[in-house]
Amino acid sequence: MIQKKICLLGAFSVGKTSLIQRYINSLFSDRYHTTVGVKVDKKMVDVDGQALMLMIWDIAGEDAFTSIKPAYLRGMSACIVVIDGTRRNSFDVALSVHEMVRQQLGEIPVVFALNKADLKGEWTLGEEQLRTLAQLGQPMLETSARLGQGVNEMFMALARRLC
Amino acid sequence: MSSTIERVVRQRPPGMNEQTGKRARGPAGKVAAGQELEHLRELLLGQDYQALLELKRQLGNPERFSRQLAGVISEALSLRIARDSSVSSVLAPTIERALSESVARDPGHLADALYPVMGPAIRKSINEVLSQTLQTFNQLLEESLSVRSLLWRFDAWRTGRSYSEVVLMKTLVYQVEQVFLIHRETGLLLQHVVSEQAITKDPDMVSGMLTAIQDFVNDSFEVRNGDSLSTLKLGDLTVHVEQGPHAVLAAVVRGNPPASFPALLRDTQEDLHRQMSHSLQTFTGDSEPFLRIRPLLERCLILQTQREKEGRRTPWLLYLLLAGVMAGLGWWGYQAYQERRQWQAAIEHLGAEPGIVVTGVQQRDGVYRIEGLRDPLARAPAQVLQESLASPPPADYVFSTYVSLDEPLVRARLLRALEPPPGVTLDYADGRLQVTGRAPLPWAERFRQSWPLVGGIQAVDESGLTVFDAGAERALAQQAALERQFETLQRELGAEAVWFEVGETGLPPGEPGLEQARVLAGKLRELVRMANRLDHQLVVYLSGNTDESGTLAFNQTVARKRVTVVKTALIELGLPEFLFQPDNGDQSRRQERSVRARVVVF
Repeated sequence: MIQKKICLLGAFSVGKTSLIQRYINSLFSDRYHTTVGVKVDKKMVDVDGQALMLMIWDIAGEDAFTSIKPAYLRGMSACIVVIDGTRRNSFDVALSVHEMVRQQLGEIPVVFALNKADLKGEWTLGEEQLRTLAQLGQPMLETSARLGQGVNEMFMALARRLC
Repeated sequence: MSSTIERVVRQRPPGMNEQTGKRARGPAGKVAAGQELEHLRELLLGQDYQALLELKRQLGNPERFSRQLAGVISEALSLRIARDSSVSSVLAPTIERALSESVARDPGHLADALYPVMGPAIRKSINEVLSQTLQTFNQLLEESLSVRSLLWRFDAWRTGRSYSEVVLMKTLVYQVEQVFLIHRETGLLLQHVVSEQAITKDPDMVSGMLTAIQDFVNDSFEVRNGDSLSTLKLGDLTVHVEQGPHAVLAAVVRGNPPASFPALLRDTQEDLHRQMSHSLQTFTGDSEPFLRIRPLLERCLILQTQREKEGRRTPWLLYLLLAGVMAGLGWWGYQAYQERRQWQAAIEHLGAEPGIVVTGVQQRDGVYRIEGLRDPLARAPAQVLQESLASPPPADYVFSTYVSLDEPLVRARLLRALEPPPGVTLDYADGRLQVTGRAPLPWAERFRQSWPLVGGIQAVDESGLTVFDAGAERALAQQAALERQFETLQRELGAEAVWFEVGETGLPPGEPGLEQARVLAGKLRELVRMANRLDHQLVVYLSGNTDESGTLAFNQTVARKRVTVVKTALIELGLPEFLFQPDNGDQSRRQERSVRARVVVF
């Protein structure tokens, strides 16, 4: 069995923990818990008959005061960069996080999750931003932890790229 | 090619001739040939030839060659090191020699250079040893005064081992519950072993979190390069973390692991890296190859189990010995208890003895000292003790004298002081003395004076006591005897008579009549004497008798004469005259020639 360490990165309060909770426990809670440091979860997935165990590191979100600790990224095989569609700032953070990952680990599989798809009416991301993301050459998926939309697909997309 | 040569010839630099000219000095023939050859070379090689010459000169001149080499030597070395390890093997002896030489010349230099590295390492090592020693010492101190430690000392004595060895063995109550082998880079679990009894949660996640915690600590606090988390402690649970270049070995231990445990982890870590070096470096998430090192990890668990088994062996011999000792102690204790109880009972018995008061008992050097008060009439304490103890222990009796009011003692004192005569009994109870029986007067008088002097008597009951006076009774008895004697004598007197011949009225000498008068007088004297003692007044009547041969008148005269004769004779014989009264004749006897006397008391 193959194990892989993957990380969820992004600005604070974009829904990283919620996405993992939805993915692993099929649960969603409106209450906001800020993640301190890191929380590790795991999920077994089956990619075309091959068992893969994802060790999912939920890393505390980045904001003006705390930055992602590079030590947590060590040994990471892939990562999901989460963007909150309703907050422009999370897009900027996502770009800088992606850049950091590239500098530290080189070219590894990355998936951009455009989260909070259930609140699409409030999205502030424009065509321009989406185009910028697309130019990075990594897959982008719209997800909603509340509805469970796109969550499995996102993790599976990443898992496929790891095999 | 030919065009190149032409170009070289044509473009010959202007300074060339001068140089060749310098070299052409020497023997003429040789020089000429040399110059031609030189020419040809120049024609053939042109500028390249000059460059070659220059290169040759550089190689020939050590100073210039060194300068050239200095520019590239580092790059060359790094390239070669990347290719193989030959540089290390070539340099190693040189460096060793250089180091030796340096140390031989001045050890200070090398020491100074190594100080920043060695200092912390040595400090760290010393700290670790000290903290382990302190921990062990602390435990030793804690254990040294308990019952358990006494058992351990006994165990050490029994098995001939040192006490510290036994303590070390016994204090190792611990269990290595789980061992994690974690890939250092990714935090992914490579292998996990768990002891049978332990409960384990998802080891993959534990492994991830453990790595995250280490990252967190390293990132959050200023730590020196190379330092890392080595121990996590919560209650009696400790996670020992042994860092390796590529993997982390984490052991979850419940209890106090021995001081050698970190060393075991280190050895295991080294073995792992030796065996799995390649797999560790090329790990991409497949933990399959690490299955084969499970025994290595299990070694960390097994060690504990063996020690436990050794510790659990049942020491029957010890139990038997202990049971024997306990039984002996129990018997001895029971005996001592019994003896003590008997002694206590004996002392109580002594205290209950009338006339003895025990105020204190002490024991010094196996000899008892019994203190108290004793009435002189009480029994000896040793005698009392002997009643309740077969063999009383040696004891000193220190008793002061006192007067006891205990009833037996009061009774004894009464008997001694009053000496009751036979027939008198003294009953004493509750402060009341009852006297019964017949007692002579003097004793009774003495008793009435003496009893208040005998302590403890509040009342005397004499209702049962009869007092008699012996002297008065004797006098009465004597008097009665006298009376009886007197009466006998009276009767005897009645039988006596003074006889006369027919018609005779005199008492001629030599006749029996005079003698009879004397007997009569003797009796009368005796009677008078007794009457005096009896305080009686006496009257003696004399009666004269005659036979009936004569006339009445004659006979009466004869009778009167006879009475007078006898009266006169009696008076002559010493009897007072006033005693005699003439009889009126009522008592006269017929047919008898005599005079009789009769005594009347009034």
